[in-house]
Amino acid sequence: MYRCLAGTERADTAFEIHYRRAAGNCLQKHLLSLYFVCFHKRLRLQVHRRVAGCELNFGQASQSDPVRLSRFIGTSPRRIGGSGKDAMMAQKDDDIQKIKEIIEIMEKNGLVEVEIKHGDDKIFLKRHVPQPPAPAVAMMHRPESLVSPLNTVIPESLPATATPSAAPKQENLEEIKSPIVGTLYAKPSPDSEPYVEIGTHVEPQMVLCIIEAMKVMNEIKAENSGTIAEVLVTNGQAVEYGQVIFRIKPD
Amino acid sequence: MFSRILIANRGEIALRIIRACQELGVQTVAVYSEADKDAPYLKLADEAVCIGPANCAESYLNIPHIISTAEITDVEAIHPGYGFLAENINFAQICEDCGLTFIGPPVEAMKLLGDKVEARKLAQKTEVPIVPGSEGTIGDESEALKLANKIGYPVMIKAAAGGGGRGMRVAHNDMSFVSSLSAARAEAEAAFGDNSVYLEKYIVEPRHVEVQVMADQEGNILHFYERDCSIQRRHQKMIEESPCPVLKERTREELCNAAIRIIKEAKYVNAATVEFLLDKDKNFYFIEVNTRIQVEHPVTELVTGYDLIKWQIEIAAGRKFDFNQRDIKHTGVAIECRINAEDPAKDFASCPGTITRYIPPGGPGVRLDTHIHQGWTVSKSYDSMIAKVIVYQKSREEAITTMKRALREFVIEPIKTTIPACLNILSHNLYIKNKIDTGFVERNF
Repeated sequence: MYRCLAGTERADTAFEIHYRRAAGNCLQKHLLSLYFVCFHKRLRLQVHRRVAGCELNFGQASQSDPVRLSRFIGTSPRRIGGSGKDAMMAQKDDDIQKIKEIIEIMEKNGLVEVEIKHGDDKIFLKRHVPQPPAPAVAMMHRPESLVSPLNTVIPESLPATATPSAAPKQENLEEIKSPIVGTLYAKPSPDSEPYVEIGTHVEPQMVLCIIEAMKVMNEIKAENSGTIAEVLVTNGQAVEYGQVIFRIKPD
Repeated sequence: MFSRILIANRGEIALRIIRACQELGVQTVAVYSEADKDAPYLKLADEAVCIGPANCAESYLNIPHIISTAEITDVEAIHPGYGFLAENINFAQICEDCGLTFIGPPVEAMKLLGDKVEARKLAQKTEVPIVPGSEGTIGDESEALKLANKIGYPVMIKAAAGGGGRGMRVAHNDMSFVSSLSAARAEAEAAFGDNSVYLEKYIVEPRHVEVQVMADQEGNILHFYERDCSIQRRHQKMIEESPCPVLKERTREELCNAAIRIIKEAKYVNAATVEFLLDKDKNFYFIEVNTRIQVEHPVTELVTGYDLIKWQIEIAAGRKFDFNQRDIKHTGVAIECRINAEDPAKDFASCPGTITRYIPPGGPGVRLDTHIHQGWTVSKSYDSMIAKVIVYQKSREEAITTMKRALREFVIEPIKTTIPACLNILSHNLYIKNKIDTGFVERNF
């Protein structure tokens, strides 16, 4: 694993970069191996509504455009006479440039993980956001997040969130888990405020969020009184059964 | 070809479908209940989504959760496997309504063949022999007697409202028929509040023989020969083999063509198994159609050389067969043993638990289809079948030898399994000599 502080303004942000091009594209594994896991795993992005609440602006492309993403991988012109060392270096520079672009995009959009796959080519980029102390506890965010990106946490995308919500789990926090599979909406509509935020006091039957499944909007309500301590999901995120959405400090 | 499909199942069949998809270049979405969250095959899928707690009704049978998962993961099709929702007309219809391809038959064909009465009528229409019986419930004693003689003894008298083997009597002649009829009626009245009964020919010592059929979307229908599944206990298959060792070539041809006629008449698409009973005189009678891929499909895959799961997906994606009936040959013998987490010594009581020592069989001619491994916990929430061992050799004798060798190698501890029971059956003189029928296991073990 290679830590790279490439192209970011914040020197404290480290990137874990794994990159591999398939054999035959004149580069084998090299030191900068790059793996991108797309946050929503919807890199196909044909249905834009699924990323509502998380507009992805990829540099020059003004809207999330699935076709544009191909410029990051797989379609760069092959260098003729490809196996020569110069060609390899040139391809490598090309790749590094692309990596820098993607890093900027991730920064801008608060993405933690991105994956782009095209045939055998794959890019995965994961951003390590500085955690508060107690690293042992911070690992409780399921390591399988690489495999099931549905569980990925986005620390910075909610307003008024001073610290990343990957805070160490405290004792006695009530967990609100998703009872269904669907798409979670933290706000009643794109322009409104979220139903709840960290610090919001909740009463029984108060709506915390909506999960849409098969066009039906299901209200997720608080059962007990308390204060929202952690918000583990973002607007528009896909959630699975049993996924922890909120942690509430009971009164 | 689909770019991504969802597998609405678990365990060994989910893994089987993932493997087929990986070879076809199709991405997979696996679903799992909380009880299956550590299943290693989930990591082979491109995505895995938790759909509910251990209880089947809230997870693997939970249509809203499965459809919702299909939506958020952007799949084009759903493979239902076998069991669970595989023959659920409602589910197939919902898939269609939601724009998802159901990898299986069209709803109409599933409905038609899923109804046993309709299926029998369809078989009659296509001149496929069915188990002879009365058209409906029978009237007075004299009419019943006439009908019994027409069907031919022995005759089974069955309660129309019945089930569970109650309100059933077998009569071998006119005299016992009369007494059996009143006894059956009385039992039916007491148990079900309805004394109506109907008649069916009692097939003595039948073999269960089924034909694998597949149809593509262009109306091409192919059979992949038959399987003999007579080794059963309480209607649960234990050991299956292909070919049926007592079938003459002529009967085989008639049987397989009969199966095709039924599938054709039903305008069926995708995989199906047409089940028959074979009596002592090698007459066959249609029983029913299973409108799904079956547990024992590997047996057919080995003797014919075709990957049925891949073809299911291809057919659903619109591809037509690039071979015809003449190209399908059956060579050699394949035998499958289902391994269940059950204790044969305790009347096959199920034995959930954690497997602490696991050594799988291997070597020439051995195929193992399973999701279990060392450390796997067999849950009490699901079917007790944990593995399938399938062997393939040139002759039946060699296949039996290899199977016994493989089963002896297979270590699954400390839970009890049906491996010893399978070994006993395979060593039994009657099994070796092909003198078996569907009652064999219960009579001898």
